[in-house]
Order: sequence, then structure tokens, then C-alpha cells
Amino acid sequence: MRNRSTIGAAIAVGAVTLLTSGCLSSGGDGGGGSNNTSNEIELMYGFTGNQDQVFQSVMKEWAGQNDVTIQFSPTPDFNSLINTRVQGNQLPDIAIFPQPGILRTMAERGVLSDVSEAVDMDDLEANMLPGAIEAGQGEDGTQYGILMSSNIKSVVYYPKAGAEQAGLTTPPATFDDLLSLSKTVAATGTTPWCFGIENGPGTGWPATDWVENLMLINYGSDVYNQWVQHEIPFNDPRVLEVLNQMEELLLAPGETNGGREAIASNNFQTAGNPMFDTPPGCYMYRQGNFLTQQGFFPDAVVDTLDDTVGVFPMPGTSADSSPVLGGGDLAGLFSGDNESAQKTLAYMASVDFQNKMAKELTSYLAPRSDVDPANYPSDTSRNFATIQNEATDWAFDGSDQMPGAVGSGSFWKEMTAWIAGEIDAQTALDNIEASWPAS
Amino acid sequence: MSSGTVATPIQLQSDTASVGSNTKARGGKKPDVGGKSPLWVRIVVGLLCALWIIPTLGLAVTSFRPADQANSSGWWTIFTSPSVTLQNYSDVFSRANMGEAFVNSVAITVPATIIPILIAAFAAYVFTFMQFKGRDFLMVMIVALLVVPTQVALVPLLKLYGDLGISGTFLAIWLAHIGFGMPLAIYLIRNYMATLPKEIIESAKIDGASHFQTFWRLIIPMSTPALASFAIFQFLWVWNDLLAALIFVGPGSNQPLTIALVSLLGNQGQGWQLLTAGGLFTMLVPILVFLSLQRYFVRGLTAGSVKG
Repeated sequence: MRNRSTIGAAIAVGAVTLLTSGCLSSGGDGGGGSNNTSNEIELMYGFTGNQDQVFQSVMKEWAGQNDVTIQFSPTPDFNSLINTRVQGNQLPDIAIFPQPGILRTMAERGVLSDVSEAVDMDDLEANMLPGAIEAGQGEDGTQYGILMSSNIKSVVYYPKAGAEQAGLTTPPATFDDLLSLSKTVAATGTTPWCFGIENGPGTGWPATDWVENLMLINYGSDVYNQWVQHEIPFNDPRVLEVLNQMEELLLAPGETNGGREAIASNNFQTAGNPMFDTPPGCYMYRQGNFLTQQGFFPDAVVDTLDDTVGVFPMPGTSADSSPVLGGGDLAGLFSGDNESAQKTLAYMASVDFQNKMAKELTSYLAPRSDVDPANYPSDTSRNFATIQNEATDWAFDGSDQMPGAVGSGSFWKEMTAWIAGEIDAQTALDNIEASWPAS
Repeated sequence: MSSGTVATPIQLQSDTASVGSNTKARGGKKPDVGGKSPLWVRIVVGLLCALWIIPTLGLAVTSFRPADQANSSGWWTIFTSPSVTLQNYSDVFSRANMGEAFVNSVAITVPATIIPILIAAFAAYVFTFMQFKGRDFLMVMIVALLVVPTQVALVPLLKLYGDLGISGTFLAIWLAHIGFGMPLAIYLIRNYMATLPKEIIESAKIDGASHFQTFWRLIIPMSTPALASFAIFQFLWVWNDLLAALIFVGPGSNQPLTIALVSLLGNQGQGWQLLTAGGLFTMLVPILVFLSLQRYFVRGLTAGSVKG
């Protein structure tokens, strides 16, 4: 009795759902996975909004001409979703990783394919940024990812109006120049720096970019990478030195708009906006090149970007060194045997693709140095490209490469606590070191 | 946000129901004789309502403000320096395919609400009115399933769906929501049915009604409050769900409103002003559903809580 009724119910339910699903679910076979041999591939990535729209239109145009059908899966919560999908064995064919850390985790699980077969490595070696190829390599040196877009975080924005009166006439050539420039501006009675690290649950990350910048400037990419890979401890005296430098440059009274106490509650998106007040509330804001997109500076400023906003790179220790802290999105291949996926990946690494993206997406920066500068839509983005391509030293964003517990956990939190004045620099560094997961 | 708004009418309702009937009985609108507590109660309830309503009002106002202003000043400044724009709304509809997402949301929510109610009603009937071996044990098992967090099932389900080839379809998300909603549905409806007078069922039996007839003709009409209240729970839950939708449907042509909405937000959080407009838009349907079903909801809240 019991058995019959449950089976009957199950059948009834099954019939109902199957019948209705036939009417409603339109296509969407879920795609993806390493056994996909069709020319319909799934491309999963973490960027959304305008970036996503431009990317899709560029990719669709190419796919239409090359007999590839791409199913786009932009997801705002890329890292957790890719983890779930890999555990559930629901792999996309290609994924674009915003951080090398997660790419390496996937590579260690054995779900990623070597991409060096799919792309022309010689061409990339010759034309990519130095260091950009290495960013996509696993620990054994296998190429698991190719940088398809890049960004730089060693840029300082300043308002063109009023900069001269404040003493900001020429971009500082060395870090000492930057320090003295900061003092000059401070002497006029206005705070030289805009600085804000609030970003909801992500509060603190803009501070990590500062620390990383200063690490790279002071000690070069070799020591920087050792620090990021935890070959030297996080609380090394050299890191403490950097934090002391930050205190002098940014946190001392009169250096930052609103004072040290306001930094932790000042949203990074709008922290730079007092630069455009009359008179400016601050004169310099170091942040990534993404800041020129719609949605950060006031709309009126974005519309007249080249005339209103100036940029200069973070200077090196000497006039002939210009280290750049950058980042980017790495395309990785799950379906190594799928020809369409290979072609798609190769296209994203090509100069054609990157020229098109540069032309159509304001915030795009090409990791290839042979992209025609004329394609960038504004002088400001051309400046970014020049700063990136003329870098004497390029390093990938460190917190993106550190284990999640540190890179998007204790590093953010302890920096926030330190900046808010709750703990001293040494304690903050010790805490982060203690939180580094034992491998 | 939306759960905040829908919560208020309950309090309003219970407030007016109890306080209203009391005052009426004692004569008109005047404050109660000798008792300050009704006023005090009303103040507290009013404060609670304000706590829920003010953020929603802020959301609504912000959605009509230009982004630059929303970035530089609070929403309440609209009352001193009004400036209104529909830009956010037109941006939301031009940047995301909200129409398609809306249809998808309906297509996901309606079956994922009706199917579990139907199954749970069958099951609840069986648990209440039929005798069989192991009935209590089965019931305890189902109640125990209430405490299992949804998240533990995500990966195994995804794996199963992959093997069946239904990942990314509506069927996948329906099944997930049906499964996740079932324990609560059975528990709630069974407890309600247990309060129905046994005599009616017995007399139906004497008149020769089969179980099926009893169920459809008697039990279902009498259980409407419990069914309706669970329908609202499940509808709101599925409509507002982002987690299961992201995992089992994912972005693309089948995406519901929640995914379309969150995709409007840029990587560094730019475009948040679009969320205010989009968020308000997605709240419309739940509010309508709630308002049209709320009289069942208030009755249904006590469903199963008092057995007697």
C-alpha cells in the first residue's frame, strides 16, 4: 500500500514537471564540461555591467564569423560559483579568472588544461607585458592562463584645475619627490591626499594596494614576489618599514582629507571626488585605472576626463625606475580538446581582440604592448597604456595571489584596524602573519 | 529589503485587529479609559513599522535621484532640494533584459510554489488521516529535515543535474526549490490538518467517500489558510532567491530577475544606483502577492501552532 502510493505520487509529480518543463525551459543545455565537443561553448567570467556588454558584443561578432556559438555566463560571484561548479562537475569550457590564486587552485585540482597548445606562445612572449605570462603559470611552470585584460594600480589622479597653485607642477620623478610634493601641498593648508578604503564587506582592500605599491617601489618585484608567495614572512621588518612610510605619507595629521579617522569610513568609489570641489579638498588620489569609468568620479568630470583629470605614475626610488603594480583577468581552458574553445581562447589573446576592446571599452587596458595606442578612446587611457608598457618592473596584485584567508581576509581587516588607529603597525603585521594558513 | 516591506503589514494588521476591536467595544476613538498601554503599544508598533519602512522609503527615493547627488548627499535632502530623474529606471531597462528576466522569474516561481503545495497537501493528508506502519517515524524524519541547511545539497544536486543533463534549465531550479521547501510545507500543512474536526472525515467515510474524494472535497477547501500562507512563504522565498538560481540556472537566457539585477553592478561596485531602481521593480510582484493574499496570511500564521 505504502509503496504503491509513493511510487504513484512520484510518477504523477514526474509527469507534471516533465510536461511543464517541456513548455518552459528554452534550450540551455547547461553546456560546458571537458567532454564537450560541439562548437557551442560556455564562457564564464566575473565581470558585469558595461564591461560585460562590450565584451559580449566583441566576442559575438568574432564568433559569428568563425562558426562558434558562445554561451556567456557572467557571474558577479565568480570565485564561489566556479568552486561549486567544479565540485559539481559542471565545468564551463573557458573561464576568465580575476585572480591567479583561484586559477592555480583549479590547476592543482587537475581540471584546467595547458593553454600553450591553443595559443601562439612565441607571439605572446614577444608582445605581452613582462611578468604577465608568468602570472598565468602554475607552480610547475605549465601555462594555465593567458592574460586577456590588464589593469594598473600605480596611478595617481590629480585635478588639473588648481593643481598648479598647490605646487603640483611636474609629476614627481622619484619617491622622495612625491614625499616632498606631499609636504608642499600640505603647507598650503589643504590636505594633499584623498584616501578612502570603505567598500562594504570588502573594506580595506584599497589599503592593501597601497602597501603593495610601496613594497614594489622600495624593494622591487623579486622581494615583492617572495613576500606574496610567503617565502619571507608577512611581518618582515621591510614590510613594517613600508607601513611607517605610509604613516608619514598618508596618515600623519594634515595629509589626508578628513584625517586618519575618516579613512576607514570613506568609500573608495567617491573618496577622490573632493578633488573636483572648488577649492579642491585634496589633490592626489592613488587608485586603479578602472576609476575613470562612469560611476566613480562625478558624471561631469567623466564627460570631460582629459581636460579635468591628470594622472601620473607612482614614482620609483630613482628617476629611471618605474615599477607598476597591476592585475588582470586570466583566461583558462577547461575543455582542452575542444577546438572551438581553443580558437576562442586564442582570439582573446590576439592583438585583434585587444585592439577592439581598447576602442570600445573605456576601462580596458590591453596586456599586449603591440596594441595601437590610437585605439584607446582618451588621452587618459593612452597615458595608462604608456605607464603600463614603459614599466621597468611589473608585478601582479599581491592580495589577489595570497590565500583567501589573508588576501581577502586578514590583510583587509588588519589594515583597516591599523589605519583606524585601533592597533599599531607591528601588531597588524603580526596578526596577518599568524593568520597565514599552514600549507 | 523586500522582506522588510512585506513584514510591516502583518504588524499593522494584528495591531488594527486587536486594538481596533477593543476600542470599538469600549466606545469610539477615544483613548482607553484608565489604560495607557494601548497608546504605548501603538507607539511601539509605529516605531517598529517606521524601522522597516524608512529604509524602503529611502530606497524608493534614491532610485529617483541622479547618481551624482545620491553619491554626495543623503536621500532625505530631496525634500529640501528636490531633483528627480527617471534615468536610473531607463538605464536598468536598457542595460539588462528585465522583461525576459521577469518572465523567467514568473516561470520559475509559479511552478516552484504550486507543485510543492500540491505534493505537501497529499503528504499531509496521509500523515494526518491514514494509518500505516512507521507513520510517526516518517513524520519525525521530515521534521528533522527542516534543520538541514540548503547549502549542503548544492554540490550533490549540481552533480546529479549534470549527469541528467538538466543543469541550467527551469526543471533544475524547480526541483531544487520543491525539495528545499517540502519539509516545512508538509510540517505546516499537516499540523493544520490535525486541527480539523475528525467527525467530518468520519461522516464522509460513512457516506462512502473515498480518500481521494475526502481530500479534494473536504480537506483542501478547509485547509485554504494553511495552503495560502505556505504559498506566500514559498513564493517570496523563490522570488527573492539568488543563491539557488545562480548555481542551478546561472546567468544567460534563463536567468531570473535576481541574477539580472546583480549583474547590473559593476566589478568595483559602480552602478549601484541602478540597483535601487531595479530592486524596487523586483519588489512590486511580492508586494502585490502579499497584499492580495494577506488575509489568508494572518489567519495562516497561527496554522498548526495550536492543536486542538
